Amino acid sequence: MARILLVEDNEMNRDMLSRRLERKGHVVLIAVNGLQGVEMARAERPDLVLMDMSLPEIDGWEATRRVRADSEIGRTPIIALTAHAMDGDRQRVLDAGCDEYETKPVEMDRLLQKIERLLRASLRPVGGG
Amino acid sequence: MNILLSTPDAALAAQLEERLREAGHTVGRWTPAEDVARDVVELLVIDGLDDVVAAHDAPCDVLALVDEAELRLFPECPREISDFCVKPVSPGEVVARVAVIAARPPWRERIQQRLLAVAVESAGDLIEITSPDVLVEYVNPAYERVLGVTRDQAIGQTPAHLAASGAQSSELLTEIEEALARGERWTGVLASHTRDGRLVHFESAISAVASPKGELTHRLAVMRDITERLARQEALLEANRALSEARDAAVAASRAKSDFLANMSHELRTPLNAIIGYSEMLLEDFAGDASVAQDLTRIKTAGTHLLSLINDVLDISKIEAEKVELLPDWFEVSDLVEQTAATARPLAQKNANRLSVELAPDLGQIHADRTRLRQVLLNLLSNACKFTKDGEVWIRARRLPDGEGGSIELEVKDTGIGISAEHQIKLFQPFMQADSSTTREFGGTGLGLAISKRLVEKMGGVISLESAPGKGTTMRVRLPVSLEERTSSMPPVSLREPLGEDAPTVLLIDDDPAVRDLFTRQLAKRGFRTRVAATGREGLALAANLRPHAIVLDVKMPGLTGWEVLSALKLSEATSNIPVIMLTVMQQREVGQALGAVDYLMKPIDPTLLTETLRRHTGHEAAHVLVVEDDEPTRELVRRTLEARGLRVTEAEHGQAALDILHEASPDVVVLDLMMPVMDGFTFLHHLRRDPLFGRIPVVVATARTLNDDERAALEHAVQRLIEKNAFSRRDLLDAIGSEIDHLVAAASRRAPST
Repeated sequence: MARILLVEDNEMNRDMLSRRLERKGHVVLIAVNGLQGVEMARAERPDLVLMDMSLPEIDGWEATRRVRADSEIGRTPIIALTAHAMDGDRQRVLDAGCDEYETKPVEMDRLLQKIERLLRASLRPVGGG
Repeated sequence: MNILLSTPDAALAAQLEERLREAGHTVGRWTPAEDVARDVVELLVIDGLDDVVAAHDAPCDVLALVDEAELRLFPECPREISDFCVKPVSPGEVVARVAVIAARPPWRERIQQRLLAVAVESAGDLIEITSPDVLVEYVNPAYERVLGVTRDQAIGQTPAHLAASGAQSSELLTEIEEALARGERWTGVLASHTRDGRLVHFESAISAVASPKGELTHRLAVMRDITERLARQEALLEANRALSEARDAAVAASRAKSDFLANMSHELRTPLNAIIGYSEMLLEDFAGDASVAQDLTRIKTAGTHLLSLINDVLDISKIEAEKVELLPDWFEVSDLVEQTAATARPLAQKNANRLSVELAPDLGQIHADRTRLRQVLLNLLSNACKFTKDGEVWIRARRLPDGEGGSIELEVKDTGIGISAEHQIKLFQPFMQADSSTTREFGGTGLGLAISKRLVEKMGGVISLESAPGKGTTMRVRLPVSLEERTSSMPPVSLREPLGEDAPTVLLIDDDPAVRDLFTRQLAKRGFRTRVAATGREGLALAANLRPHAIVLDVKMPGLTGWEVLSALKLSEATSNIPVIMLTVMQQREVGQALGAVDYLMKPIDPTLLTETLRRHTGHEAAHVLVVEDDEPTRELVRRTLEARGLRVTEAEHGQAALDILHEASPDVVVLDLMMPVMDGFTFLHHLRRDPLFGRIPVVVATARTLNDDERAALEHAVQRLIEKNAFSRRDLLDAIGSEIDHLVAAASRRAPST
């Protein structure tokens, strides 16, 4: 399956999400803050990033921008995880460079669908070229 | 003594002659060139002739003597008196021209006088007559009653409002003197102390009474006690202030509560995330163990229910904190209904209901927030499915032709348990399900309808229901086809740069939205900041907070009228100095001025007049434009266009003329033609830009000439705006120049305050 980088500071959420993704056969890499998230993305080249938005060191918004600005890993699909369900959040997240977003609590089936869709989309041009 | 007598009445003449001869005079006849006598002379005239003759020898004015005598008898008809004159023609000879004397017999005058005296004596208003040196000669009983002084005490004294009460400013007293000196009536509010020290306020009118020769003989003051009315107004305003403060506090508290709820909801989501997530994981692990799986399902269901509660609470608190922003766009109503019905279908099937969609063929598109409307419909559908078993649920949509652009009606109807009238009332309130047992039996948060109602209303629509126990329920949502957000109809002026810091602020208080809109547009173009208030109460609050440079106040408003608002403005220390301009449909200048308005304007408002009036009272002068153009009709048109925008205009027919008057005219902006005799626009610009004082003023070039690239490049550096006339119709050109000037003037006033 895919190698997914989970950037999440809350230990319980991290544990639960990583275990549930692993059960579905994914390899889950963990980063606990935004800075580490960007470093891991560079070092490990994951297929997809699940990015919590409220993170210590640098927040998910900034981490997303740094990933996008990096020519090597700039095209990695990113799904934002946000606890806010405010109007306009979706647009803000997309504007920041994320491909998708999911509000917490995460609805697992929906998240898995989004992951799969993004992976297929990002594999297509790579597979073609 | 030789007396010449002139009267057309032969009998009277004979009588007069006889009487005069008896008195030892010689009497002759004199016929004036124009025969003015039309009526019978009174005998009193004859009585007066002795005086006339006596006066002739004395060095006094015979004419005045007769006037004096007559004045006492005919106080209100001086013209007729002056027609009757007796004058000396030579020593020992008097001409008596017996001309028109009052047609009315004296008794009628006396009755009328008595009636007038009764009226004055019994008037509710205070009446005070003073001598030219301002000592009281007469006061009426109302005066005695209100001020607590007897007539005898008042007569010969200085009037109460002048006696050292300190209630009037010296400016006001000077103003009264000046008005009277000009022969005008003064109206305004005066204050006096009563004998027992109480301060009373009078709405007063003071006029000068003059002799026919124009000498001031008396002053007449008519004063109405408005102390109580002012006190009532003050009390009313005080009460309003208290109410509005209480309301503000309540609104603030409600906001704080909603903010708290919104934050809380976020915090609650994190642990819920774990509860739902881990129970789902465990459910996967123990799928085979029925008893554990059942418990886990309960945990998960409770968690999910809690989550939906939190979501709904968050939603309603956001709506109540006014944090919900609608994102309207155009979409097909039928698409939305069908998609929503598809989502709700599993819910319908769960209770074995049949769900039907009925769409009118002419539905078309609607301009609304798609997500929010979907949320509303889904809520109505899920309620219908939840409270109906083995029945039918319909969702219908149709277009109604009412209102502007029509509206869309969405109807969700079921054959379910229905709602009693008693419960219908509570239905749209938060946490008010029809029955507290409903939650246990049917689930749900009880917030769905409250949220739906608020969302529909926010989209400019209404939600209603029709139901009876056992008869099913019909919920109807009616929405305007176009959700016109108020921001989208903002005047185009808002696209401009904001006005300068020192732009004068004008507050308009008018209940008519059309007037408010027009006012804002017109004044923003002319360099004023505007604020508007729809009611007197709102206006008073804004005036106290904003301290605008001027207030334009409509007279006729529901609630507090313009006059009441004006009085309140003048009574409050914070606002009493702000010039107030009244907007009326009638001539009511005097009332306005009495209450302290500086000016008044008639509706409909003439924008130029409005601007001039405001400039006059705010001390902000109109910007000055120098129009340099050789074609006279064009120049005239440009001048008229600019003047209509409230600007001052000086004209010059070519560049040299413009340079000559530049310093004298001292313009803020120049409108420049290029092709001109004597000195063309290019040369003018060349000189202008080297002028130490005016080298930097903005220039708008309006030219009929087709420019080559070099010329264009040269101009682009030297001028602020280039308008090529052939690209525009004349009207467009004028508008372009006008709006460009407005723009530059606004920018200039931002850089440096205009003088």
